Amino acid sequence: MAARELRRRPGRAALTVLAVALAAALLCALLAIAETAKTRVLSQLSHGGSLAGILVTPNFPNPSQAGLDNPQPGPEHALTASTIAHIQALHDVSSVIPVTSAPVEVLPPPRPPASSKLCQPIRPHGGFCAQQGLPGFGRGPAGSDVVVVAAYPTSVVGVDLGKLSALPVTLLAGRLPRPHSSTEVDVGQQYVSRLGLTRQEATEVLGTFVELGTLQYISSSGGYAAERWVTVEIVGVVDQQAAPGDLVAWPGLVQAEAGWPLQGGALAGSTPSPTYVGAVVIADGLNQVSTVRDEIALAGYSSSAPVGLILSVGRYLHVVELVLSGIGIVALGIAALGIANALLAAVRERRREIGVLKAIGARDRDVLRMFLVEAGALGLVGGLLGTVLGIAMALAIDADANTYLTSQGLAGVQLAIGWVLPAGSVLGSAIVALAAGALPALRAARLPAREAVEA
Amino acid sequence: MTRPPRARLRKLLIVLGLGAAALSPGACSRISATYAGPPPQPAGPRETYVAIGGAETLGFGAEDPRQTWTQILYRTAFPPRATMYVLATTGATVADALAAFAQQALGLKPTVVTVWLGLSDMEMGTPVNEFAQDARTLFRDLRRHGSTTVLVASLVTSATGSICSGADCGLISAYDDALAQAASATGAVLVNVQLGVVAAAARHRGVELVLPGLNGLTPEGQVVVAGLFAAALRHR
Repeated sequence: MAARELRRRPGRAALTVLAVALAAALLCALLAIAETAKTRVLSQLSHGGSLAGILVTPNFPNPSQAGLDNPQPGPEHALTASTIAHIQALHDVSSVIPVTSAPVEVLPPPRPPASSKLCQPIRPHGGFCAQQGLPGFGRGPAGSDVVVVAAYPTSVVGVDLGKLSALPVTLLAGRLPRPHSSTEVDVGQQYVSRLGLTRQEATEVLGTFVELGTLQYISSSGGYAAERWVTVEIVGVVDQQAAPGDLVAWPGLVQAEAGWPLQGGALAGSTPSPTYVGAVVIADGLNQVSTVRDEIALAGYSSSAPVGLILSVGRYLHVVELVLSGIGIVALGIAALGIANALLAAVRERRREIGVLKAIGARDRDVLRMFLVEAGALGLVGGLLGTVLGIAMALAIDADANTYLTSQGLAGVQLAIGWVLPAGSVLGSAIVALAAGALPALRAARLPAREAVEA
Repeated sequence: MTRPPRARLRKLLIVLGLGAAALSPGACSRISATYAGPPPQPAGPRETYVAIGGAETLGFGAEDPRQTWTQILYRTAFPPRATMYVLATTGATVADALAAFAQQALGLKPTVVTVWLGLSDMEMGTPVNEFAQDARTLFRDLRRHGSTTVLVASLVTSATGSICSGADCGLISAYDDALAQAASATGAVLVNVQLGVVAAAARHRGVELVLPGLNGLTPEGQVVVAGLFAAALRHR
């Protein structure tokens, strides 16, 4: 009967559904965007890593800096495999990700200016340009504006990239090196800057090859320096705070760079095995971070974690979330008034019909149910349409924001929509509609049959 | 009263159209969020190249590490996954290389080795027969029963013009012959760097290829030498 009534006045029903849909869409979109923004801001504070992440450095703790999020570390204190195992065994520690590093000499490929045809690559897909032109080696004419970036020393940082979400490493462009690859690396913004590229042009380094050189001083037979060179492909650009260094790779590559096998090597200026330059410790939760940091300090190591900042910013973000929710709820309230108004009008128009129904035996609760079903249907359909529209709006805004962010060389945003928000939005709309329809339905139910028929 | 079928169809089309319009931005944004998978890993064993020598192999005369002939050869003649080791020291003789570099090089299991030695032996007066014996031992060890390609550079004793002059001619020939015989006896490939440099100098008049005093190669000379080794590698 409720459905027949809705079909009888499709214009009014459609407008009421539209009001509910718009309100639900607004609420849904605002909450989705607020939640995503909150996640992004907090992720930025933790440099893309876990919120409960603690960065341990190979230094003694500085007593005068105790309690600070980002303290000045004390004197050097080597991190060893046994120390990492000790931290792993601490109470409230979920996991420990060691960070290794090896010093390398980097030879970036000479970079041709965009759209230049002067520089012919001499290795397919390599991005290397010919040196001064001589037959057989391509031709870089004298005075050509090929940018030759000087070789420079830096470090390659090795981390278990399979645990990216827990690491202070954010992928800005491209992809991560293939698991355990020793021929692929990601580079940081410093590398991009050294090549004279802006953040927006960072993708130009993807697919190019860079040479990494390491030196060992060999003591036997008078002593000499031995060089090792490998060519690795740049597959991604990252923003990383795990350790100082322009390149990020899987630990295997770092180990190969640090400890290549030469008899009599590793006496001076070289590293026989990977050096732990830090460790990312993940506490069981934000509340456990302080306790874990105290225990790490007791073990003799300095640590940093932006937990104070995260909690403080989190409180402000919660206020923003409340304000946005308030706007959505006001819209839903207006929609509820619309439903109430539509149903009140329907009750007035259908007094005679209600009277007839009661005269032939319909009880009050039958009439009540009829109007409540009508209100619930309006709310449910409106909520459903509104939720779809709201998610579509949020996705469109997200896509737009991502285009802008990636054009600025920043990490994109992943919209955080679970099942709770859509389900809550649909159910919430139906409940609000039922509440709005309760008064008109009660009024209809309480109409005396005779009075209704005579109206 | 029932609705005519056409009105019902129109209503259905409107609903479908609205649904599609509402869902399309979401579909588009999902596509932008996906990344292409990693490219296929190049197949085959990894090449290991070891350069053994003296000042020339260290790249004396190059203005940038990229300009050394070993680097140019590594970049142009080897696949991207190759590894290069440079075992060199200024003034290294064949005997030094045999004592210090040979075992290190063998430990690295190289697929290609370049050897550029001899000038220091000549300057230090190593007896030719001793030089020849050491060279043969060095090349034989490096060859690893034929599993390694060994490229041996001849002596570079002149920047341009004639290969040698005056009384030095006999001595230079003796050392060069010793290198050639050792290479031939062990299956190593002799790369006649001297002839290549002279030919390139003739083609590019006015371009300096060798540093004064034969202390190294100019950037242009590094390219020429890398080209000579690359050509020899292509014909291995």
